[in-house]
This record gives sequence, C-alpha cells and structure tokens, in this order.
Amino acid sequence: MILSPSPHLHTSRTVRGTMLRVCAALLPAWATGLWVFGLPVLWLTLVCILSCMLTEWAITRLMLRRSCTLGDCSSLLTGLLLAMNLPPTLPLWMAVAGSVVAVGIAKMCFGGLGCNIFNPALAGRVFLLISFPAAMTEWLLPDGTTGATILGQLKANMIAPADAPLTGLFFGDMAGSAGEIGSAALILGGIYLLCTRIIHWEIPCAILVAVALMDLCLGFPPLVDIFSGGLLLGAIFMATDYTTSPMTSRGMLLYGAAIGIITVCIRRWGAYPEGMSFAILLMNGFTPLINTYMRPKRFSPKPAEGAAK
Amino acid sequence: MRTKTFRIGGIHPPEHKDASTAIEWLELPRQVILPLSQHIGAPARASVEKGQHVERLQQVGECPSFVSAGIHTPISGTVKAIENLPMAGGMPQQCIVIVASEEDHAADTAAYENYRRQLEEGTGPDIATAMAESAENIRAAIRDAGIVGLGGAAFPSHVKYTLKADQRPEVLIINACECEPYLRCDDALMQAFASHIIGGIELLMKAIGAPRAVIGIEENKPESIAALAARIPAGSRIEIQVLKTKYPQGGEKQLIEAITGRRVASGALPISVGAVVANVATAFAVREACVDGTPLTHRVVSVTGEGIPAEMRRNYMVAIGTPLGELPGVPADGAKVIVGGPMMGRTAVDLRGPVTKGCSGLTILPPQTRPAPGPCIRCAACVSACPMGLEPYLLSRYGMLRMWDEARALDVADCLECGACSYSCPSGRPLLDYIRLAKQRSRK
Repeated sequence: MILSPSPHLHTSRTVRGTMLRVCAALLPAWATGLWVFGLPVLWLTLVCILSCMLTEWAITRLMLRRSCTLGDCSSLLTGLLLAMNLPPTLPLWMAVAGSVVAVGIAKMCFGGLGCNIFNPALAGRVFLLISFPAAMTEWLLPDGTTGATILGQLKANMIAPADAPLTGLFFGDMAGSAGEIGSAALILGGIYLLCTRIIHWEIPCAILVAVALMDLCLGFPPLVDIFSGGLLLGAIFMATDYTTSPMTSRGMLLYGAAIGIITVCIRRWGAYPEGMSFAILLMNGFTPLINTYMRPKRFSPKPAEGAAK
Repeated sequence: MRTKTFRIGGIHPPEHKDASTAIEWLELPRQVILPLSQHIGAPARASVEKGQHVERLQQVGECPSFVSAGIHTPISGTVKAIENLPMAGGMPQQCIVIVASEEDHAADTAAYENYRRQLEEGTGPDIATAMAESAENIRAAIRDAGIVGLGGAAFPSHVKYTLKADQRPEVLIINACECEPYLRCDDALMQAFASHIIGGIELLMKAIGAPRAVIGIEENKPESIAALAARIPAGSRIEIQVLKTKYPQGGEKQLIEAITGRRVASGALPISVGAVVANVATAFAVREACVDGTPLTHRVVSVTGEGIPAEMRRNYMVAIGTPLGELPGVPADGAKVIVGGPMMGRTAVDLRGPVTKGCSGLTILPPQTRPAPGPCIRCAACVSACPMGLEPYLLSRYGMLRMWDEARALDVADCLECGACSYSCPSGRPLLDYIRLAKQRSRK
C-alpha cells in the first residue's frame, strides 16, 4: 500500500514552468529591441544569460558543493531581464560584471532562489549604473547614432513634456535599453502573464495608477511617463518578482503605489532621469515590513470577548 | 439564478467526475466488521455478546452518553467476536464481527431485495405519518437509527440537531456540494432518490424548527439540480442555491458564507449565525430512519480514480462493515487507495478495514510520488488559495521550526486542512504537513 498525507493532488504549475513563461512573455519586447538596435542586443543577451547561469553554477557546485539549481531557470530569467535593462552597446565585460553581481551577490549571498531581498537583475543594473555612469547613460538611437533617452532630454530641459513623441514611445522608436523601448510588446507580455495568472494585477495596476495620479497633480502628461524609460518593464516584469514583492493583495497595492510615487519623484526632482530601478529596489527593502503589517484578511471574525460559543 | 460562492481563496483542481452516476446495489456480505467508534464522541458500547444471534437491522452497539451514536448490523448472523481489528487507516479498534449462516443470508437477501424495490419504485411507507410526529420524536428516531453526518465528519446527528432553547435556527443548509474531485456518491444519490432527500430535508426542518432550507449544490451537477428541482413541491420552503464549482465549496464555513453571506467566527458553531448544516446523504438517511424505520446500515460509496479502469469507476450501495477490499475494482496492491476524496482523504493501509458510516468513497490513484520540494519562492499562491485567509507559507515554516506560539498567534487553529495550499504550491512544498503539526502542537 502507498501511504501519504493529503492532499493527493498537485497543481501542474512548477517554478521552472513559471520562469520560462515569464521569459516567453518577455520575448516580444526583446524582439522589438533586436529589431530596432540589431545584433548588439543579441550578443549582450547571450553574455548576460551565460554569465548569470555560470555564476550560479559555480557558486552552487564549486563553492557550496550542492546539487545544481540551474534547472529552475531563475538565473536564465535574471540574465534576460538584466540584458533588457542595459544599453545595447554596453561593453560586454561590464555586462559580465553586472551579471556576477546580480546572481552572485544579490541572489546567492542571501541564500539563493526565494531568499533574496532585492531583485537580482535590478541590483546588477544599479551596480553598473553607479560604477560606470558614462557607459550606462550612453544610449543607441534607432538611427545608429547615440544620444540621450527621452527622459534624459526631459531632465536636461532639451524638450518640453508636451512635445514628447507619444507614438514613437509606444512602438519603440526611441533611445533606450533593449527591453524598455517596446511599450506595445511589453503590454502584450503583461496581458499574457495576467491571463495565465502568473502575476497578480495589483502591483502593475497600482504602479500605473499612482504614476498617472502623481503626473496629473504635477501637470505632467501621464502617458509620456508611462511609455518612457523602464516604467512598463519595471511595473510588469520587475516589481512583480515573487520573492521580492509582498504576499497579500493589500500589501501589493501599497508596494505598487509607493513604487509609482517614488519613481515620479525621482524623475521630476531627483538627479537621475530614470527612477524605476531605485524605486523598486527601495520598496524591495520594505517588503518584509509590509508582509508583517499587512496580513491577509482572515475569514473568521474573532469571537467577541466573553461571548458564548 | 445567479451562482454564489465563498469570497476568500479557493482553487479549482481538475474535477475528474467521470464515474458513472448509477447506484449499483452490492450483494449483502457474509461477514461484517462493525467498529464501535465510527463517529466523533464516545465509542458505542457493545450490547450483544459473543456467540449471540442477531437479526438484520438490530442494534448491536448502544450510546453510553449523549455525544455518541448507536451501531446496527446490516446482516443477520452470529456474533463471531468482539475484538480489536485494524481499520483502513491502520489503527486497531474495538469491532463487532458478525457472520451470517446460509439461512440468514438467504432471508436477509430477500428482505434487502424487497427494501431496494420499495426504494426504487417509491412504494414504501408514506412520509405523512413521520411528519405528524413531534420534533422530539423525530430526533429520537434519528438517534435510534445511529445517524451521523455522512459528509465525512461523522458527528452524531441527534446531537447536532438538538438546539438549546436560546438558539434560533433561521435556515437549514443542505450540503450537496461534493466539492472533492472524483467522488460522485452524493451526485448519484440525488439523481436516484431526489424525492427521498426532499422528504428527509422536511423532516430535518421539523426536527430543528428551521423556517426554511437551502440546498447548496455546485453547478457541475446539472442532473442532480434538475432532479431535486423537479421533486420540490409547490409552496415548499425548500430552495436550491447553485454554487460555483470551487474547492472547498463544501467546507461548512465556506458554504454558510456562500449561502447566507455570514461568517462563522473562529471556534464557533454554525448556529451562532442562525444556520444548521446537513449533508444530502444525511437527509436521505434521516428519511429512511423516520419513515421506513431503517437504521443507518447502508450508504452509497464511490469507487473511482485513475488507478482503476474507466468502466470500473462506479457508485455502490454498500452494507456498512463490508471490508474495503471486497468492493468491486479495488486493487489489492500497487495503487494508492484513498478513503475519501483526493484533497482531504486518507490513504488506506489495510484493505481488511471496513466501510464506515463516514466513508464517502475510495479514490484510487496510480502509484505516484510527491514532487520533490524546492525552495519557497514567495509567490503567494498559497496565500491566494487559502479559504480561511491564513498565511500557509509562514505557518508551515513555523511548524518546521517548532515555533508553536508564533503559529498560534497567526491563527493556525482556523486551518480546516483542506489542502488548497499544498495543492497550489509550484515548488511542491508539503505546506499542510507542517501546518497540521503546528495546529496540533499549538493547541492550548
């Protein structure tokens, strides 16, 4: 006889399947980047993915002498996300350094999958941004020259918010990283993730609503903020990272709203043109606190004091 | 009509409701094993002695206290032994073993055949006489028939339906959800004996003094819904509420919330919100006890699951006390035999163990291993699935680390052990195993 405690059924969903589906959802946006910026995107992506996976393999197998964990495909996703967050023409050795920091420090130092506090891909990106500010802000334009992103031009008052080319922003005709320029493709991926219930609606919606409301209050066109920079990429794919985001519906709403507000604050008043990475990392740090104070609503009301049962 | 449902959590596992909904009547067994404790509460006391001859439907175990249930024999015969025998779960229990002689068996078979014909043709005694009895007498008849909740909990029914003077029932809720995947015993019973069930509901309403009754049934049972709807007399205070197919819709607290919108507090009984809940099979048993005088000696049992061929997935009317291994299609070995449904049922260790009152079916699954657990990725699937609004990932961690006080502070006692958390975990973590541990050990 075969013995086991209940339940005896199990969902067909797995960690590996979830990671691969997120990768699949990223593909349209990645393809947009490849189409606009060409082969550098491909090399950058391959280097990031390989160095992320190699870092995890080296740490688990050579340093910890544990079984290989590459099968969960989480470092594949980290590599892909990191590549989509970097300027396509970034020197490849910098991409390797960013990957090692992302997986080696932000993820494996904290205990590996599920234990990290900060989003590994964003930690890698911010490490590069602080270490190599020049290389990290030199963006390829679709016509092959280099220049500033729309957000960079806005920050430097080179263009007025009202003059930002919205259709260009929407279909990827702008400078930026491979992953952030294709707003339409990102939205497509987001719809796929929402429909397959891989991500919860709360985080992306809270971010978008918070950004839109902040912008309306400040008299800034909300669509320019939403379709420029890494906002959509961050809202759909980075802020929704399971491990580093809150566990409850209410917590997710608070977390998302805070990310939206912090992002707009940085973009309007901060030193950087782009604020999404910092906002997400900041709120990653608050996630344990949010989980502690925003517990799910219990089904059962507590029995009244002294009430007869 | 709009379908209703409970509001927090829930999952939708594959239904696998592919067993036939016909009820096959199995021949009476030559030997039955009647455990004295098939219910919650004090075990019954054997009222017969070894070597004594007993008649079919005779009481062989009596209640030693109020919260207990009597035991009756489904066959005539001689008491062969009163001894400790293994149950399906492996634990031994005091049982009365009754063996029928050839003459006993022939006489019983004729009487049983007659009972079956009456039931199927609806030619048995009329319900009017039973309905004329007082509420007290109906409850006494329920007690004398040894009826317990047949949904699985097996709580003695007469205790549940004896309300205190200050308890006012507003609604009797009939649990016809059968939300466990695979099982179809209630579905089969409703399709075959809808009018008997309606009769049982009327008797129960009278027994507890409920002004109305609502049958809560999941929308994946259209035949049963139609069968019941056709048998509800005009002007009746019984109504049907179709519910969304969602697990655990048949959880008592979830069902009450779905139907009345009220939530039963932690540790409180349904009557605290004016509800009394009974399973459909219980309503059927109540009708048989009050109208026909037949004590609870038979029940419908599903034998289903991927571990047996599709044509063997059926429902049987079985004598309580029949060893599980004697049910048609139950493999002797090489499969996982679950007593109950796959979400909350327990695996059987010993197929010599008998069918008990609370046994709704056997789910037989191919030998399968659990997925190897990976690390928690904090995806919140368990939090979204928990119908009690708990944090399974955290409670199971506390169980693992033996942090009982912390688990108690986070309401581990509210857990109904439905298994939705373990089911939904993409990392295959055994969440409920550790939550169960924490729930038991944190009890004050």
